[in-house]
Amino acid sequence: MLRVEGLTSAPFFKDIDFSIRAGEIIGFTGLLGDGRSELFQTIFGAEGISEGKVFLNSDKVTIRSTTQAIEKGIAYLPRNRKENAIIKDMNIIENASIATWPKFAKRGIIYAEKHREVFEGHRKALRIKMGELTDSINSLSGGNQQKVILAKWLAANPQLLILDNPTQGVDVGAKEDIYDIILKLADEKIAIVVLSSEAHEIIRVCDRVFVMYHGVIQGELSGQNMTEHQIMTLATGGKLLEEEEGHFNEHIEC
Amino acid sequence: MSTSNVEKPNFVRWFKHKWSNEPLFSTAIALIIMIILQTLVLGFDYDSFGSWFQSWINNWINILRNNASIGIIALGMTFVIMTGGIDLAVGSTLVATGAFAMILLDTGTKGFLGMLGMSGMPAYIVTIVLVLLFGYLLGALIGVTITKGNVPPFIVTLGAMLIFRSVTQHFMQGYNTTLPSEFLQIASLNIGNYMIMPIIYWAVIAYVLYYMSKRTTFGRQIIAVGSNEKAAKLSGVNVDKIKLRVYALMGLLVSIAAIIQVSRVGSMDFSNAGRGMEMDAIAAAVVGGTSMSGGRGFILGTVYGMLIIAVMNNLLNLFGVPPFLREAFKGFIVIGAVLLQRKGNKGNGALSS
Repeated sequence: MLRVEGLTSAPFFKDIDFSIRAGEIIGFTGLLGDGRSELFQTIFGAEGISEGKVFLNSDKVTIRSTTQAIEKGIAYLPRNRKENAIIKDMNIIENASIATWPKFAKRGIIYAEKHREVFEGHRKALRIKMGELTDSINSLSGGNQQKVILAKWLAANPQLLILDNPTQGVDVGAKEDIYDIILKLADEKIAIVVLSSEAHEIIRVCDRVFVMYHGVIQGELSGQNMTEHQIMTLATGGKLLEEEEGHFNEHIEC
Repeated sequence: MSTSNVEKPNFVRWFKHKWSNEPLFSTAIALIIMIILQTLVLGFDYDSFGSWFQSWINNWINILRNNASIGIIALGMTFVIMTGGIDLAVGSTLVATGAFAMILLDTGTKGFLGMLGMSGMPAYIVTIVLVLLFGYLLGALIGVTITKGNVPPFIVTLGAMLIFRSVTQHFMQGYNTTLPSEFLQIASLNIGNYMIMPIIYWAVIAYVLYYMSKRTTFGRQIIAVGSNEKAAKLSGVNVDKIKLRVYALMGLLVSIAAIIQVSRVGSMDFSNAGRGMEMDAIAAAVVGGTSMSGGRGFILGTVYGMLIIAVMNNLLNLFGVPPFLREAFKGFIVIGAVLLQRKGNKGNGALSS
């Protein structure tokens, strides 16, 4: 579905190669400053120029803006909700529909009924607890705010959904809801990338994980090898032990 | 089932609720109080109700007409401020676009369209189109410098303010223009004995921009950009395009104001016209509840704000307050309005029912 070859943007990341199939959930993890947010913001068209190639459904694409990325079916839920996702002067339904205003608009006029209808469906599926659609976004708890942002991206009908720290500042109950929805979306053949610094979260939802260290992919883990210990070893710049590596290759083959 | 006993507390509660939840409620109340005051001051010392009403209407038409140009500019300024920006160049853009209209239409020897042998209606239409285009381009130029050059709006428009006026003054020195009298009809045409064309332009533009700000993608994306630029960008909003269009729209509105000014007076004082206009426009927007930090603004509020300032000027005039003191009242109104508006704000716009 998505393939990335040699993507480089100094000084954040270099020579990134990976691919993801429809319905697959892959994780990206590492320590602070590993460059994974910048990497996916670049793929989403929010950062500056980069070298390398990005293929969507085997077509080479050059995404220069977030507007373009959304048109191509890419969605990115950013980290630091308050700074990067919440628009505090707008109400719940506006925050939940901003990404799809151009898609449904007729001659530039926002198609409000359509947005309400779409959001209503996601509101039930995501179990968002809220008052009126027109209440301020600040009236919601952290977990419900995050679900509204998630609903915004589901409204865009993405084929690739990138979730950067999706459970940051979210209560336990809402965390479980978010994990459930991630697994359900993968069943619906959406390719999902989860960026997280919490190893247990990655292990819980992902099929494979890429561990980054200082802007490069230090290693890839899957199945039995996805342990907190292995992830930490790679994240701190270490190499996998010989026998573990053998085991790891074996796993990849089957 | 309500008895007269509970009606009053209900009204008080309703009022309090509106006061703290409706952003424009206090502004509207202030405006109504101003209008009542002004009506009282105007007095009822007339022969009949008819003649009283006549002079009341005349007074109002004067107020509205005198503030139409600046009112139109204040509307555009509201959009600019909503994005978190500012436009100090409106006065100079007014002079530049006004001068451009005069160069095109002068009936003397130097009139550009006259030299091309164009006159009458075709010349007026070409002039209007070109002047609007010129205003739009000047605004777009400011917008490009802000977005592509990544220079703060304050700096860019401060520079543009100096450049536009200075260049205009240089080229227009010793240039006496006379405009064809038909062209002056744009602003001075009488409708039923009232000279209300500028008021009609203002009202139409206010309605269009109001609708834009509430219902269109562009209008709501302006709020998003001003409220949280990063989040807007990460939600697929083309932030640079929105800003560019806002400044271009500002330029377009200024050129409309310039046409109104030029056709009202028939000439323009290039060194003084439009001076301080940016501050009046900002004041109107701020009194109307627009936040200088962006993300919050009301087109209707700006109309109220403009009217509050205008009625206040009229009142000061009727009271005979010395001219030098009048600006101080404007200052108090601006500060007082912001103090009044320190309160919670509910969402508004396209998706609120």
